[in-house]
Amino acid sequence: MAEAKDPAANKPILAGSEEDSGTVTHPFLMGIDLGTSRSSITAMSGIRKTVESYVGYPRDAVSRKHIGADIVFGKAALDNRMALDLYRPLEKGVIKHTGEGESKSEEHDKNMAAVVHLLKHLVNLVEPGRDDVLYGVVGVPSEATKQNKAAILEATQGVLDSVMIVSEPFTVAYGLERINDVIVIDIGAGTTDLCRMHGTVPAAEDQISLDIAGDAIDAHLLELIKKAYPNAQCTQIMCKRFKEQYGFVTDKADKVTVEIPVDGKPTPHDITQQLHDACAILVEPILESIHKLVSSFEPDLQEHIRNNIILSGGGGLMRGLNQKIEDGLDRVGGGKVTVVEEPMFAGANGALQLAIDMPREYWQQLR
Amino acid sequence: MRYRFKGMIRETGRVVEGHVEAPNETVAYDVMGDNGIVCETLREDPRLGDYTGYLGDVPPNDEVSSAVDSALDTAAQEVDFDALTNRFKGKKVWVLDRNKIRDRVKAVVLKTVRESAGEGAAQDQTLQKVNEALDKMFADKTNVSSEADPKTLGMEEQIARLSAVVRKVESAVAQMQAMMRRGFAGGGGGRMSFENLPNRDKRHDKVLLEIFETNLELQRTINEPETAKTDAKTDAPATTDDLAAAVESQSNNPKP
Repeated sequence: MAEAKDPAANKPILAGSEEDSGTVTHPFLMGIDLGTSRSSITAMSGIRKTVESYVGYPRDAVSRKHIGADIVFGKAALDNRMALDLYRPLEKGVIKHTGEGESKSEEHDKNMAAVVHLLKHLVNLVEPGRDDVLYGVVGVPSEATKQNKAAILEATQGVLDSVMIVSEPFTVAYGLERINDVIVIDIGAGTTDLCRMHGTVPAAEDQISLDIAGDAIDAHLLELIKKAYPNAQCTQIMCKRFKEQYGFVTDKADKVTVEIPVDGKPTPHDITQQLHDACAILVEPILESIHKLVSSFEPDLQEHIRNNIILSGGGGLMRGLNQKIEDGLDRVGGGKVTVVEEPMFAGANGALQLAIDMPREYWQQLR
Repeated sequence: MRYRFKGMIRETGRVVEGHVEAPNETVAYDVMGDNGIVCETLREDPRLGDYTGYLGDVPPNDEVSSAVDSALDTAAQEVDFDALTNRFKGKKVWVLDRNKIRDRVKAVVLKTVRESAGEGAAQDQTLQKVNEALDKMFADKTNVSSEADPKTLGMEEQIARLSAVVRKVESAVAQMQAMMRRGFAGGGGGRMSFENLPNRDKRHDKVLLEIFETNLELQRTINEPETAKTDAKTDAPATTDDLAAAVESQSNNPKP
C-alpha cells in the first residue's frame, strides 16, 4: 500500500495555478530584421510588417502641426523629409557611429534614439498584448563587431524584455531548416553577407561581409545616369526606386525607360544599360566570396555546398541574379543558387523560428 | 420590428414585460422611456408573419432562432429544481429540449414556406400550412424533448465539457495550420501564445545553447563596465574573503 503523503511536510501546498515555475505566462515572441534600408518584424501572432528604416522628427512647430505627429516612420518620413530632421540610423546593418573606437558623440545619441523609436514602432505594429512579456531575436550582419551588437542590445532595452542577437544569414538558414552544408547570401542595403553553415553557429571564418550591396548599386547607378544624362535631376532615392522596380543582371532585358526631371520637366530616359551595369557590380565580389568559402571547406563536401547556395534579402529580388551567379560558378565547377520564397521576410521569419525554438529558461536568464 | 422587453415601471418599481414596436433598438428604448418604463432587457421578437416576406429566400437563421428563443422565454416558468429532482428521483423523464425545439421549428417553418413558394400559394395559405406543420411537429414528443435521467444528465455535462475542450484544441490546431500555410504571413487569425505553439524543435538544442551562451556573454561584457564603475564608486570589498571579513567585523561591532 502506498504511503500517504504528509501534506505538512516542509512544503506549503499550492494550487496548480499558484506554483511558481519561474517562467512568465505571456511571452510574446518576435523576429526582427533591423536593416539599413528596411526593417522587418514577424510575430508569433502571425502579424508581420516591414518599414523603411527612416525616422523623422518635425523641425518646428509648423511642421509638427502639418504632419500631425511627433515622430514619423518609413515612407511617410521619406515623403515629408523637407519638413523633418530625417534619420536613417542604420549603416551597413548596424547603428551609425557605434563602431570600434568611436566615442559617444551627439550624432551617436541621436541615431541611438532614432533606432529605439524605430524598434518601438516595429513592436507596436505587431500589436502585443498589454500584459505580454516581449522576447525578440534580432538579426545583425555577419561581421558586426561586439560594439555594434552591444549598441543594438542597448537600443532594445526598454523596448523588449529579453533579446538575443544572431547573425542575419544564420537566421535565414535556420528559418529554412537548412543549417547544414549550405551557403546563405543575404543582400541588404548596407552589406552583402555570406555565411557558410555546417550544422552549428557559424564562426568568424565561416562568414564574409561585403560593403557592396543595395546602397552601393544606387550610388553607382546615380553616377552612371549623371554621366549619360548630365541634365537629368536625379537623386539616390530615385535610383533606389528604379533599382527596386526594374533591377536586373540578365544579358537580355526589356528596355527600361524612367521619367527623370530635366529643368523641372519630367522627361523619359532610357536607363537600361546603366541599370544593368550598376546591378552587375554585385556579381563578381559574390562569386569571389563563394569561392573563398567553398575552397576552405571540407574537400569532400565542397561540391555539395556549391549546389546549396541560397539567395536572400532585398537583393534576392533582382532579376536573373541567381542565374548570373550560377553562370559564374561554372568556371569553378558549377553550382546551384536558389532564391528564398520571401527574400524580404526570410531573416525575420528565421529569427522568429529561433525565438520559438529557444527554451523558455534561456529567455528568463537573459532578462 | 417587434421587440420583447423586460423592465420596471419607474414610479412604482413594478416589474413588467411585454412587446414594443419600433424601427430599431434606440427608438424602442425611447418609446419605453416615454412610457415610464426602465428597460432591463430588450431583444428582437419578430412576429411569425414577418417571415413571409422572405419567400424564396432563406431567412437569416439568427432571426428565426431569436423568435423561437423569445417565445420559449415567455412561456417558461421558474420552478424549484430540488423539489423537481426529488419528485422524479430515479425515474426517467422527458425534458423539453430548447435547442431541439429551436432547430425543429426553424426547419419546419423554412421547409413549409419554401414548398408554399414553389406552389405559388398566397400568404394566408402559407401561414395555414406553417400552422399545420407546427401542429404535427409538436404532436410528436420526440421532436421537442429528449429522454433524460440523472445519470444521463451528468454524462451530458461531461460530454459538453469535453466538447468545449475539443473545440478549443481544434481551434488552436486550425490557427497553427493557418499560420503554417501562410508561412507566418500577416492577416487575422487568433492570437497564439507560448502555450499553444507547435512543439518546439529540439533537434537544434546544441545550436540554441550556443546562441544563448554567446548572448549571455555579450550581455555580461556590456554590464561589466557599468559594474566596474559602480564598484569603483563604492568602497565595497573586492573579494569573497574581504566580504566575509567585512560581514564579521560588522557583526562584532554592531551599530548603536
